[in-house]
Amino acid sequence: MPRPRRKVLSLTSAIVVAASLILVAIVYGAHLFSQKTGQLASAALDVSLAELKLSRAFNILLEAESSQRGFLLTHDEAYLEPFKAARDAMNSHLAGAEIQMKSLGMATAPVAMAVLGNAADQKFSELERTISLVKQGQTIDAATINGGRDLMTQARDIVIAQRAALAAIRADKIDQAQRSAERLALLTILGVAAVVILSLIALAQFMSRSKELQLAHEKLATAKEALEERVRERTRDLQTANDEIQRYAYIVGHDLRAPLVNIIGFARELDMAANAIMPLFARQELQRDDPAIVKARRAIDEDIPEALKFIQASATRMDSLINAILSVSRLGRLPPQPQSIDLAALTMNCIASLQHSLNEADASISIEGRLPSFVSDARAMEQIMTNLLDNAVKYLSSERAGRVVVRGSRIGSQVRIEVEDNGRGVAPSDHERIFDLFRRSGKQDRPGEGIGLAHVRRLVRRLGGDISVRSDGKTGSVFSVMLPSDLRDAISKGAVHG
Amino acid sequence: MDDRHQTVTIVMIEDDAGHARLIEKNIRRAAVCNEIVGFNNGAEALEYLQPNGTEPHPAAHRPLLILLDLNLPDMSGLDILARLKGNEHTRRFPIIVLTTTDDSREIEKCYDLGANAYITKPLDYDNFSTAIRQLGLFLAVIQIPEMA
Repeated sequence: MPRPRRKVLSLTSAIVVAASLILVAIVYGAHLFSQKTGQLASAALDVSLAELKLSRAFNILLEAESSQRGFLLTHDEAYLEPFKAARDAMNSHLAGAEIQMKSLGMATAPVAMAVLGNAADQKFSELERTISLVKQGQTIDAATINGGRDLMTQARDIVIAQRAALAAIRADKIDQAQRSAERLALLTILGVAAVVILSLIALAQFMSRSKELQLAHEKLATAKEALEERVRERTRDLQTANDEIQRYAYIVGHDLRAPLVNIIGFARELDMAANAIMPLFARQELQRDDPAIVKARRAIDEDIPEALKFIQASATRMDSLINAILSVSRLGRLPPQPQSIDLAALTMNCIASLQHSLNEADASISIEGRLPSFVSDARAMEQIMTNLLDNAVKYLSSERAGRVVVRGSRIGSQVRIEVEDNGRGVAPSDHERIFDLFRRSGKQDRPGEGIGLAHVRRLVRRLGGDISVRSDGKTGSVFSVMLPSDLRDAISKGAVHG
Repeated sequence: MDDRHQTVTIVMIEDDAGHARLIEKNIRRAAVCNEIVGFNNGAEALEYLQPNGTEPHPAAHRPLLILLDLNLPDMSGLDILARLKGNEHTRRFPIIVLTTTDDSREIEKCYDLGANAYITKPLDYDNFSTAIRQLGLFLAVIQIPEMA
């Protein structure tokens, strides 16, 4: 990837951290503003309460005055009923109002309230005095009434002034609350906008990253497909090359035989010709001391038969080599026939056919554990096992009793079959060579053409498997055959030429 | 040898001169004196036998025995076999296939195409001689096709 992964990761985490911080700030700001709004609202409530109490006190004063007026005009004591508790009620409201105003931090409140209290007090005193004068039957002079009106005016002015001051404070508090709410709204909008922008950036980041991933994925898939195609191509090429080699081997084998027929045929004819001459030399009348006749006789009696013997032996040997080439090349021409194989039964059959050699060599073959069943070509398997077991028995060591062990196991979709012997082994330098045609290992003291293992390897490969040998070259060897457990799968996958 | 046998001509289609000579030697050794006409390629042999012609070749009026090698330089012996057996003028001539292979599938194919006998040119020369000499006996008993 051209783009460093770390950078993408750190950018994404930075966005996440920033968005989180903004959200925390919004929550904290909302908390602060709501606290402040709460304080302002409670202050506004205090203002209203103070106003209410102040108004209530002044109303009580007015009621007291009208109660007094009623009594003065009618001398009816019933009018004095509201008057009786009025003074205490008014004082309590005034005191309450003063406390509220003080708590609102109104600096002028104590002085104004003291003046108001004083005026109200004097007014009540004036009201009580006039009432008691009327009760005693005396009249009231104008000066008293005038003094009372002045006190009322003074009290009303103070109340109005204080209410105006309170109204101003309330307006201020409401204004503050409004501004605070606006700020909160603005903060929230900005915060949300920031979070949205960050989210969009993160999303874009994610999209581009997943697009990159998608592209990488597609590239990988293409590369894999190309690789598989190449493997298929190589397999086809190998198959073609292999087929060619087989045809070549077949043709060569075939064509080599024609001259061989002549060599053998005419050697035999020569033999017959020599035999025809031979009686001549047996005749008595021949000059036995004639050097020419002695020479010719030797040629007829010794040289020609010797030459013919070598010609015939070599031709026969060449014929068996050609036969081996033909038989190995012919193997590849028959398509393998997949069928279910009971390896244990097949091995038992091979052992039975080797019984004679086993008795002669005083050796034994045993099957270790359970041999797997699988699907392959039965005839090929029989030849493979017979060859391997035959070899194992053939190359036992004279130093110890021969023991051959056959074991097998299934490994995934493969089957491994091992033939282990304690014979003379195969030198490490020959591990590959012994599978070549006409190549043999060790002391050449056993009959054989070096065909068996080449044949086995050809068969095993034909079945989609391979064969190898492990040996220290002294204490025995293990031939290990790996085969697909189901030849049908191998054929359908193209691993085996069906 | 009676006169009837003398009239049978042996046509040998064999490209290897050595093989041809060895076969001839063994035939003669079996006291078979019939005329032997040899060809070392398929084209000339077919021209002689003319199996595709509507009129049989004058040579084909005589009873023939054909010895056919499968490995010829110019065409496959199997091809010649199929053409000879596919033509009404030549299909009754006995054909004996000679070859170096002992491949059972090839032998089967020859019999499927109508070969009358099959002789492997063996590396064991004595067996080969015996087979050719038996061919002499074969010549003594074959029914010569009725000529038109």
